[in-house]
This record gives sequence, structure tokens and C-alpha cells, in this order.
Amino acid sequence: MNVIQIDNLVKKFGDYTAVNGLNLTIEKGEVFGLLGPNGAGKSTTINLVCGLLHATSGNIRLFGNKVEDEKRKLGFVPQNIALYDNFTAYENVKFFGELYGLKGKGLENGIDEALEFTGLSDVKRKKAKTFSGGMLRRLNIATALVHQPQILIMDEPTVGIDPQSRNHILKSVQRLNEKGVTIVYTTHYMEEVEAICNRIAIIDKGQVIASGTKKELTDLISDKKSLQLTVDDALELDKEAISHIDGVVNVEINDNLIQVESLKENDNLNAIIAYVNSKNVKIRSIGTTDVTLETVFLTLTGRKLRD
Amino acid sequence: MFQIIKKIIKNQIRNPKWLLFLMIFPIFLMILIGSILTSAFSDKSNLTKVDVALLNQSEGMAAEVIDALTTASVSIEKDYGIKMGYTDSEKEGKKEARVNKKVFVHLDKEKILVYGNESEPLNTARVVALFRSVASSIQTVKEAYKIDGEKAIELIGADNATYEVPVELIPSKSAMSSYDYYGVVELTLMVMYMMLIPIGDLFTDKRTKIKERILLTGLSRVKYYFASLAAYSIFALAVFIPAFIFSITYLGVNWGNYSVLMYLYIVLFAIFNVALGMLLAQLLKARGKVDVILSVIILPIFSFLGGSYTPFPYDMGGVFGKILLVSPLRWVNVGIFKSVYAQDSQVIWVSSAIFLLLIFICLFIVVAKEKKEELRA
Repeated sequence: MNVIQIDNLVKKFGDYTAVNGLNLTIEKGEVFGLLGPNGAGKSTTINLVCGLLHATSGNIRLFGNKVEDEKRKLGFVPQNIALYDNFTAYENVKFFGELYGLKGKGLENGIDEALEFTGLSDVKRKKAKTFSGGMLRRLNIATALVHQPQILIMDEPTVGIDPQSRNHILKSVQRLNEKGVTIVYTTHYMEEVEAICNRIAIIDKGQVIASGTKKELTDLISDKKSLQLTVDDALELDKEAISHIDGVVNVEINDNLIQVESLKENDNLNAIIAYVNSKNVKIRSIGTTDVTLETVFLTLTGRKLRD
Repeated sequence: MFQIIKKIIKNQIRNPKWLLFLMIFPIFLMILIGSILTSAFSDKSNLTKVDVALLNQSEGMAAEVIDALTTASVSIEKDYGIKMGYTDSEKEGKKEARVNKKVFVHLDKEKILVYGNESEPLNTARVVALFRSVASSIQTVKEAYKIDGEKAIELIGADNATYEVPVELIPSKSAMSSYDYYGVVELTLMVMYMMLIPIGDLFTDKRTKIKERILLTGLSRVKYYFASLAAYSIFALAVFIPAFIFSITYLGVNWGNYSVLMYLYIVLFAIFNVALGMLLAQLLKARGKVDVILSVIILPIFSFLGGSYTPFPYDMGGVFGKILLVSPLRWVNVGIFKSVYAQDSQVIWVSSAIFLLLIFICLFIVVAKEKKEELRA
């Protein structure tokens, strides 16, 4: 069953087109990742799905109905910390629970479950302003869970937090999904998408340029291979010269690490090594890596995710 | 809506910056400015006490004058600031006038001779005026007796027959003191600062996207703004009570016979400021612009024209009089003073109607603009 169906979605802000004919289908029970660099149109798409923006054209259906009719089934975790500093964790969650029309025991249960789920039960009487960045992010999620939504939309929920809190959030997302909640997760952290998402859509310039499971996406560029060389002085090497070697698609040099994407059919390893040796640069290690979503994105768009 | 109202009030209590500012600062201003500028409002500030050195060698009319003054029911010293003293000789009396700047009054048989120091002509004039007025009254009675002795008392009235000058003193309470003035204008000045609270809160909701999150729950934008206005109105109703009570109990500020209605009038003005703040937050997208407009234009100009620092006459004419009317604070202050001191409530009624209309217009623009943005979003 499709819980979210997006057809030919277009959103323009004046002359700027943020979303340009986007098509997407998200099924019940999925953890769906929207992957794209900053400005790709992820947040605009999410705001459209939540009904916070109106589409210039196109169509969005939630559970087969209009967004307006079903938006209370959504939980939204915005990119910003949308909380009241002077309220306790309990009060913040309660405020949104009451706005969703929860009362009495239903409200109390919703609050308890949301705080329990995000690991904030012990600090529920503490004011949000005393929380660390990671705790605030978790509370931001708890307020979106109080009314037990069927779809949880998370807009870059791990921006600017420590690895421990990030892991906690990622595990929470997986646990939520196990309970049957469909999750739409946007990020530009490729490793997060790889870790938790069943299906992924890569968005760039307001369009879905590829979608599918991680395997389906990496298979898109199965004709490529990735070579990694560690050298002692990469400054002596010319990136342009390497990229002109037969079969090389892309070259990245970071410090003394050289990453070369090549077409599989081209056996250009000897030519690459010969070039490095010709510059009197010593090779310390050679290896190959799996094709990542980063590679997929790079191959499909010619840009890096964090550009 | 109730959740939004509760949230706003709770938030103001938890973050008591505004609460304390609006509760305490008016009291501070009332005391500070009211005490500093006491002399500007005192009706006795220029009336120094006059010492009279009296040489009583009177007969006839002069004797009757001094009898009238000493038996008068009003206290010459207390009510007119003229202190009667005696001297033994004409020489001594003149010396008192020359050296001690007293007014020397020589009741010489039928004549009343007054000698004053040339550096204090006003004091001399006051004493002369007093003696002349009493003498005039006595003369009136005598003339009446000449016409018809039996009917004289009937003709001039029983009170005058006792040689008293009828004086009705207005109780000092009714005269406006500096506290009466600054107690009112400093409180209304602080009420104007109410407009800053919704501006701060609305921008925070916008910046943190809390507003979007609230709207996602199904609450309409119209309800969001109405709930905000209601919450700040309740806040305004409560927050100025301490300063208002303080002004009455400790400073004796005269709010007239209907002080509760005056307070409600102030609260209406506060609600108008809240609506104006909401409008500014809606029209000007950048917080910086709002701050500049408020701190450079609205607050200083409105408060000056409103008379928060310098009093201006009620019915000031000319171009400046028209400029003064630009400030709603002026309407409020004039409305209160006219009602309290001239029993004229017309300004209050008219300005209340205008405030209600402006509140409605502000809200209408806010909601219309919000709806327009919703459609454009």
C-alpha cells in the first residue's frame, strides 16, 4: 500500500524552481531515505508533503487522500529545534499532544511512550534549555511521536550532534519502523541512509535522479570500479593528468589519498602506477573499495553530496 | 486555541524578563520622575512665606481691619502664607523691612501704612492686597448701615456681618501633583512597550519553525493569531495591576472616581499595542527592521508626543497640537486627565472606539497577509 504518492510535483519560488517534476512512491512500513546535497529540494518536498507549502503543480496523496485530510497522521521532525526552552521535556511533548487533541489517559500514555522511546524519561522534569544538543534533537523527535503518527517525516534530524546521540536516533528510527511506522528520512549523510533505509531516492535540482534499494542504486554504476592509492607526496601529482588516463571517470585527491573511479572494462592500473612512479612519488598502499551511494551520487550528478 | 493561550502565558511567567520589566519599571519611573519633577507641579513653589512686622497704633477703620484679620476663621499664616508679628516702634519696623525683608505694617490711627523691601515687591503686594480686601469688606458693611441700619445684615448677608472675607479653598488633593501626572503617563508609557512581547515571540516561533509544527497539528493560522492576541490581552490585564495599585496606595495618584474603568481603558490600550506589534512582525519580515522602527521611530516619538517626559496642555492648538495627536499615547493620557480633572470622558470614549477599530484592522491585515502567504507558499 502506498502511504505517500507524489506525481509530477513542481514548486516554484518566483523564478527559482525548488522542485521540478518530482515523482515518488513510498510504501507502508518503509524507511525511505531522501538523499541529496543542500539545496537539492529535500526540505521543500517534505514541506509540501506535510501541507506546509502548496505545490505549484502536481499531486500529493497520503493514504490515497488529500494531504489536508490526512496530515494529522503525520509526525514531523523539523530540521530546527522547534521547542520551548523554558518548558520541561514533559511540557513540550504535552503541548503538542494537546494540540493534536489528546486528553487524559491517552495524552499521558502518549507522553510517556514518546519520552521513553527517545530515552528522556529520566529527565522529563528538566527544562529544555538545560539539555545538550543531542538531547534536544531527541526531544524534537519525542514531540513528533506523542500522537503516535503512522508516518514520521524527519528532516535532517542528526545535524550538529555527537556520534552517540546520532546512534541513539538511528536506532530509535529502526525501532519505530519495527513497530510499523513508515519513516521518511532526509539527510545529506550518506552513511545514515545506508545504515537505516530500505529504499532511497537520490534528489538533485528538485528531481529524483535515481531511486531504489541500496543494491539497486549501486548496480546502476556496476560498470565502475574504485581504486585507492596512498602516496607519500600527492602534491607532486597532477589530477588532470590522472583523469586523462584511459578509462578514468573521476579523480579525487585528499591529502595523500587518491581515489580513482574507472570503467570496469579498462585495465588501467598499470598506467596509473606508472604515472605516479614517473613523478618520483612513492606508493604506500593500493586498494579497491565498494561502490558507495556517494559514488553513485557523484557518478550520476558529477557533484559530491556535501558540495 | 486554549493550549496556545496557556503556552504563551506560561512562557511569559517562566521567562519573567517582560513580566518583571512591566510590573516593576513603571513603579520605578513613577517614583523617580514624579519626585524629581515635584517642583514643576507644586502650586506653592513660588509662594514664599511673608513675615509681617505690625505696629498697632490703630483706631477706627485700621483697628477694625486688624480685628477682622485676627478673628478670621481662615488662618492667615496657613492659607495665605502671611505670618503676623509685632514690632514696638516705627523705627524698628522699618529696620525689619530693610534688613530682614519683612513687610512693615503701621496701623496709624485711621491709616494703614505699609513698608516693604524693594527687593521683595511681590511680598509687599500680597500684604497690601490682604489688608485692602478686608478694609473694603468693612467699608461695605458701613455703607450698608448708612443706608438702612436695620436691614444692613440682611443686605450684605449674615456671614459678611462678621467681617469675614468668604474664602473657599480647593482641597489640595484636587490639584494635580507631579505624582498625579507622572503616575499616569509613566504607566501608559510602559503599556506601550507591550507591543515588543508579541514581536519577540512571533519571530521566535517563525525562526524555530515552531509555528509550522503547530499548524501541522491542524490549528488554523487565524486561530493561532487570535489565540496569541487573547493570551497577551490576559497578560496585559494582570501585569500592570501592581503598578496601578501602587500608584493609588503609595503615591496617591488621582485616577478619578472610576479607577477600575481607567484601568480597563489602559488594558484596551495595551491590547491595541499587542495588535500593532503583531502587525509589525507580520509586515516586516526581518527582526532587525522591526527593532529599528520601534527604537528609532515609534517608541521615542510616541512617548515624547504623548507627554511621557514633558507635559503639554490638553487643548494645544496649531500645528504642534495636531502633531501631538499622532501619538495614541497622547489620546490615552489626555483622555484620563480630562476625565479625572474636568469630568469630560469624551476623549476616552472616542479613543476607545478608535482603538477597537484599529485592533480589528491590525488583526484583519495580519490574517489576510497570512492567508495570502499560505496560498503563495
